[in-house]
Amino acid sequence: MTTFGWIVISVLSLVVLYLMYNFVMEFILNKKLSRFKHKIHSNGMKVSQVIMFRKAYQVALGMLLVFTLGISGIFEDKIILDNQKVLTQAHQVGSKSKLLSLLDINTDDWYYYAPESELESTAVDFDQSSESRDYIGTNEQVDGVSEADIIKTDGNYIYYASRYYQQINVVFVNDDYEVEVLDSIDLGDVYTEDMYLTDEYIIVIGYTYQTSPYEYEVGAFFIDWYYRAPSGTVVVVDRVTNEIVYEVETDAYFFDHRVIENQMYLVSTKYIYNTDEELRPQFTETKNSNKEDSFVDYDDIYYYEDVTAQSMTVITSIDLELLTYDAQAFLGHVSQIYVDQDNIYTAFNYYEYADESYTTSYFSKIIKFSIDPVDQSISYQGGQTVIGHILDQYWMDEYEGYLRVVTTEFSLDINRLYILEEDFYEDKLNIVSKIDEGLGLENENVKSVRFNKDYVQVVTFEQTDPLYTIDLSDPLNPFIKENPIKEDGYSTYMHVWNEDYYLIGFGFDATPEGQVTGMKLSAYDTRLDKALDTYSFASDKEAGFGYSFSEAIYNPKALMIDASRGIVGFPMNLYRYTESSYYYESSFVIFFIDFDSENVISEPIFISHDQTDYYMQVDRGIYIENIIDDIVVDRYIYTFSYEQVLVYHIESDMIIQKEQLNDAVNAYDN
Amino acid sequence: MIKIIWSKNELSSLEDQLNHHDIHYVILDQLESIPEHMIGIEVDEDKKEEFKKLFNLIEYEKMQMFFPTQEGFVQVHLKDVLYIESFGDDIHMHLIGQKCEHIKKPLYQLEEMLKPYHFIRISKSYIVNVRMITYIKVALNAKLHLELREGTKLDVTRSYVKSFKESLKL
Repeated sequence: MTTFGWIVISVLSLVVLYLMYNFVMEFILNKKLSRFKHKIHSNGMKVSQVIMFRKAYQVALGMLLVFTLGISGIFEDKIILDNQKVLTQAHQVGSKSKLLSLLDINTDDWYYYAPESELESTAVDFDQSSESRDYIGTNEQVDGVSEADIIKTDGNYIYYASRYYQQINVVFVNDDYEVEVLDSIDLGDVYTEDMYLTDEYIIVIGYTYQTSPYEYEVGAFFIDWYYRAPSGTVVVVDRVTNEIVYEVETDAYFFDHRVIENQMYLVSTKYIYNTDEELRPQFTETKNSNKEDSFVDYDDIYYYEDVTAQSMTVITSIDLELLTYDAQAFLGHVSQIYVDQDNIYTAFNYYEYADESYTTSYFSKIIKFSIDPVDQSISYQGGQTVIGHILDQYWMDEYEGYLRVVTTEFSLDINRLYILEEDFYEDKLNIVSKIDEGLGLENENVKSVRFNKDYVQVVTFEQTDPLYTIDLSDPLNPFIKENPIKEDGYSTYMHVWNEDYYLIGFGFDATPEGQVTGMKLSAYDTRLDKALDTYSFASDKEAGFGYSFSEAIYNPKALMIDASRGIVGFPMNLYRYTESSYYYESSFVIFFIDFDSENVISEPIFISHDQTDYYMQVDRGIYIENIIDDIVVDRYIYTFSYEQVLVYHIESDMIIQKEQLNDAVNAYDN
Repeated sequence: MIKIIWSKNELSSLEDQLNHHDIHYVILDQLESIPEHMIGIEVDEDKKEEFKKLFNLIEYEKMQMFFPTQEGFVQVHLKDVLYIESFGDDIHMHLIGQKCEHIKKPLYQLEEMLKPYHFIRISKSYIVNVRMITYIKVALNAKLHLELREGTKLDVTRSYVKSFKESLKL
């Protein structure tokens, strides 16, 4: 009940109590008066009963009013959010003690499941001007929503931050399209993870490792050691001066992030290990060499009664013009996020185990935050729990106001599609329709999903790969189209090609028995029931291929992919077999795709780096083209590993330049 | 056995009261020992108490008092008095039917004089006829509001509440 409610109810109760007292006193007084009159045999006026009844009626009404108000719930904690929605699903934490109590309740009865975060998507075309060149940007899920990667370019400069070093390599692409390796940017104690590029800044997502002594009891058996608690750090580097102009450090792990125009949104996880410490997420801002600490207010931390947790998910927005931040949090973990230009969705996969029946139930809590179009601030909109787990950001998509979600459940192997719509008045996402049968054969789980406006393609797999197409044009009545595509193996990532019904799938090949043999690339026409063309890297001693793997299998951002240019590239690690031995090779592979030709998928081109240790593998490739009079004259691929940058010229099929980037590091030296 | 001698003219009102209170009586008409305009009544002894009250009531109803006024004296039936109010030396006696008499007698003397007839002081300047009270209201400030016949309202001030209750044996 609200404080106001308590005050009203208390005051009314006091009034009613007074009325009751008054009534009792009058009743006694008038009874006595009546008796007295009787005694003296007054034949005067009798004591009025009417007034007494009226009074009793008032008291009864008053009591009824207080009772009704009390149980009506109109003074319940109805929190109206800034967006005028009534908070009915989530609650504000409000205080440290409340937070502690929530953590206590939940310690034992739940678990979280957090698979690798993954990403994806589309090519970015820049307007052609005298200074800018055309290139293929990071593969992103949603147009206009930038995703981070370890490599970024504007066509002239390439910034490359090989993971978990403390520097950014800067490479300039000169007028001859050759590379000049410039001084790298030193990030001090920040280890890089991901990067964004804006016109003015390079924004680095990374971690700062702090050492703190581990507490131990004197006389205890073990010796002291140091616990390293990394804190998520965002570093903003000016592209002209290469100086750090802004830094935000927080005591949480970054789960994922996006940049929309000049606003950055970060979703991070704060684990709560020690309840004696400050529980609120903490931020340390460094700006003009001033350090300032701040915390997320308890009122900006929300929780759900049905979702309990030992961790907190923090949603932070950073204004890249003003260099300020804003944050709010909710209790619970985050397993996937989906961001479009207007909204941020977080999904948290969890399961509940029933001891009696030995069954596990899988759930996912989806929470929606909207992005204010004016000030880019984020505000909580509502949540919903669906059955099954969401294992990839591509399993979620918003189109024309509907959130579409694909989930998979492991115990019963049921795959589902949900269509949700935000409630207008309450903080809820209403389920408007769902498909919970017919998606996947027996024992099959979802492997990849690609939404495309009114359609979604879903790949399930156990032995063979049915690629289903679901018609979503009527959100209330989605249906699975007949005759799914069947082939061996499955795609882990699907990319819609020029036409809505053309698809490129990237994934694993497998034997008809379901045993994975290596990577493959497939081209589909979703109107047919089998693949148009497939190129497989599956083990084939005659072709000299061995085991193959690519980061792009789990991270679509490692794919260099552009439908308009008809090109797909990805880094690949191969174990090549010879007659007597095998060796490791890291290269960047390029395919050309043309749905109009008989062979949709071309033969691959391998750009191999010098043989090196596996941790020095090729990370990324960048495509930059030279256009003269609207005709593409030259196409170059710049491939990066920690040690080297190579320039490959497609037209002449030659590696035209090879430059040292960093000194080789031997991991075993440390 | 109680024997009463009663005026013949007043007999009907007494009979009404006796009947009302279920008191059995015998009228002795032809007695030589009493004057011609009187009659004798015999009532059962065990109804003595009730009869006494009845008698008081009749006495009260008959009760008239003379009060000094500016012009001389006024004769007032006590059963007609609602309350008495003082304005300094002016004493207003309010009667049933919106009538009012100006009395020349201090309020404290009136209080003493009328006490036996259940007139009670309720504030510095008011004496009320208890028989006229129709309802007692308990007010917020520890006062009592009295409602009298004919809609008159009077306050029992705080310093008189206790004595008011006591005199009612409340």
